[in-house]
Amino acid sequence: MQKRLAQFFLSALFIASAQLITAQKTELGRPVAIDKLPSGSLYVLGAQGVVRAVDFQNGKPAITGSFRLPSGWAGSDIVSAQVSGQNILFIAVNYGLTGQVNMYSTTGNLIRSWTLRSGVAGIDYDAPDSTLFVASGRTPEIFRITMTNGSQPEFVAQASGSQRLGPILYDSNEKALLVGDLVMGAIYKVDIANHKSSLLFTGLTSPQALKLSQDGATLFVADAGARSILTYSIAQPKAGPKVFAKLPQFRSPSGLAWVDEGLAVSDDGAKKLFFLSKSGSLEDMLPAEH
Amino acid sequence: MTIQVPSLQPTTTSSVSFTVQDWGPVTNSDLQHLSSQTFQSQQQLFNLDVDTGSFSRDKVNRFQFDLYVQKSGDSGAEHFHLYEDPVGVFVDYIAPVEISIKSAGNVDSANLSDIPIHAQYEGDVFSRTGKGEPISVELGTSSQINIPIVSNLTNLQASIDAVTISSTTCTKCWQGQLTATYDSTVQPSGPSALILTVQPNTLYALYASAFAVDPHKSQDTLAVYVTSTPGQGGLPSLPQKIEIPVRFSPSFLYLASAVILGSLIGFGIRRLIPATASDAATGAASSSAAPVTGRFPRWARDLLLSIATAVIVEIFGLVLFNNTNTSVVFFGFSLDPSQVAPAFLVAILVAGGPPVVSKISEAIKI
Repeated sequence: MQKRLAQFFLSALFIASAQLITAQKTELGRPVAIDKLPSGSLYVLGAQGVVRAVDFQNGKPAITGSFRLPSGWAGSDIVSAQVSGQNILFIAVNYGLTGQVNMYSTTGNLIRSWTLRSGVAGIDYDAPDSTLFVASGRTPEIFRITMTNGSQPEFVAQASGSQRLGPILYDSNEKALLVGDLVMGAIYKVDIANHKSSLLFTGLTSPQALKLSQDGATLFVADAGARSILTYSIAQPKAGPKVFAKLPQFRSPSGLAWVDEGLAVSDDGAKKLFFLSKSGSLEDMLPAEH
Repeated sequence: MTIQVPSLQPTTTSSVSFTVQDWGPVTNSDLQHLSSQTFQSQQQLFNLDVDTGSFSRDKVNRFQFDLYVQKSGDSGAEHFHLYEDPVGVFVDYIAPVEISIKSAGNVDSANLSDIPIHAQYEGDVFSRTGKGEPISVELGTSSQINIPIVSNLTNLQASIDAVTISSTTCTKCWQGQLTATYDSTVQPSGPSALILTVQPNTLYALYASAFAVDPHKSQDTLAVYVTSTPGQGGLPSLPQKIEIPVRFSPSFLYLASAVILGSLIGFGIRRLIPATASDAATGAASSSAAPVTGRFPRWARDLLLSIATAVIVEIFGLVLFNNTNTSVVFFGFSLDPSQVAPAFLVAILVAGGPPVVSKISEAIKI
């Protein structure tokens, strides 16, 4: 009798721990930003400062690794890049009023960091010029950080009229920066050469992430307020937005990344990753819906 | 369904506005997993659930939370996401938030109590209690200073994340690292204490105290920086500076050494000062009237007498100072007899007697 009871408890414990491990492997927390190296994993930054690597295993997305940032750091944005032939992650975080951009190896080793006194809202990397662009958290300022020894954030320009900067994107075709405003629901264009900004797109609610199509002709915007992914034509800024995807499962789309031909969308509110086809239809989710 | 949330004004120079996003419908089963506070609208047309588990920060560090509004009798609810946009400096607090709801021609309002209102620029989370008088730190030993503080958050907990201490005027007056121990959680409006562990560097501290003899002035000021986070989604504050003025108090051994050394010097100076005609006459008369008796020669008796007098005066000064806070006044300067330099000076003057005092008076007049 005792042997049977012991067997029962052991098997119950085994099932419970297996379920716990599975939950940990699929649990995303609140993903606030994502990015993917062309030949590497998709990296997901959680609001509580956990970075997770996601890969496709047997055609299905799965978490294959993770590391944790120091306690109290609130995740803001993540960008993956190759610097000096090494795959690295730039991770923007806020601690209280102070922002920090950190350069990590893909296994979670801190390589360098830069402090931004007015917080950080978004980052993007210009690979040819080895320059990281940073949108300030509480001021309408944009900074750049070069990947040279002892570099410090340098002021680039101010997005005049902006109330609260959000995501930032480097457009290599135009040699300009596109910056979202979370309060105005607009996208500003900042000319890097002459340090001037202009209002490019309006009609958004709360742009959280920006991504350009492979040819650079279309801008994809994750709009948390509209709970959708919208597109703008770069060549026709007055044409207005088109809805690329508006899934009923969307709560607060927060990040965008190209995965093969499709678009991956992180959702802070839904606590999920959505994998969309190039036409915008849902192909997969992580965690999967039961 | 739409909701509107009017702005709040925590102080005359600050405000908090709310941004509302409609995240669409949810089912009753979604609501069952929430850790929520439930409210009813005034006309009982709607039930509202505030998800306290959603109190958090977004990617640009705005405070956010979820609100579910359910029309009475309906299955499911509408999911709203609210952001706070604070302007100005204030201290975080819990407040009732009034909202108005419109749905299919129905208009109602509700009062959501216990919503945390968080500042972007936090006011002082703690205040130091008690008098701001300089705190006495004993020389030659490691000691603990108890700094009573009270939380200014009236209905929110505060957690102390870090405490760092530095000297503002005399870095070399301290040995090793200045550290603090504290309870990391402070209850709303609750008292707490920072216990600083400090060890003065005796030589530097004596030097610093030699030039700050006024008993009411500090000889160094410790800057204690407290970083804290208000509960329920508050931002970690910038380090709040609390200034602790300190005075170094020498141990008995240092004071005794200062008195004896001062007595010896005062006595020596007195012997070196040439006797005036009246002194000589007085001395001659006294020596002829009272023959030298006992085991000790006259100079030794004079020396012992000088030391004993200086010790008595010092003890008297200490008793007066400690019990009545009366300072010793020399040549118009207020001196603290519990410090080495004043004790040394007093001993010189007492042991030196009138000749030394008059010499010093003359010198000061010049």
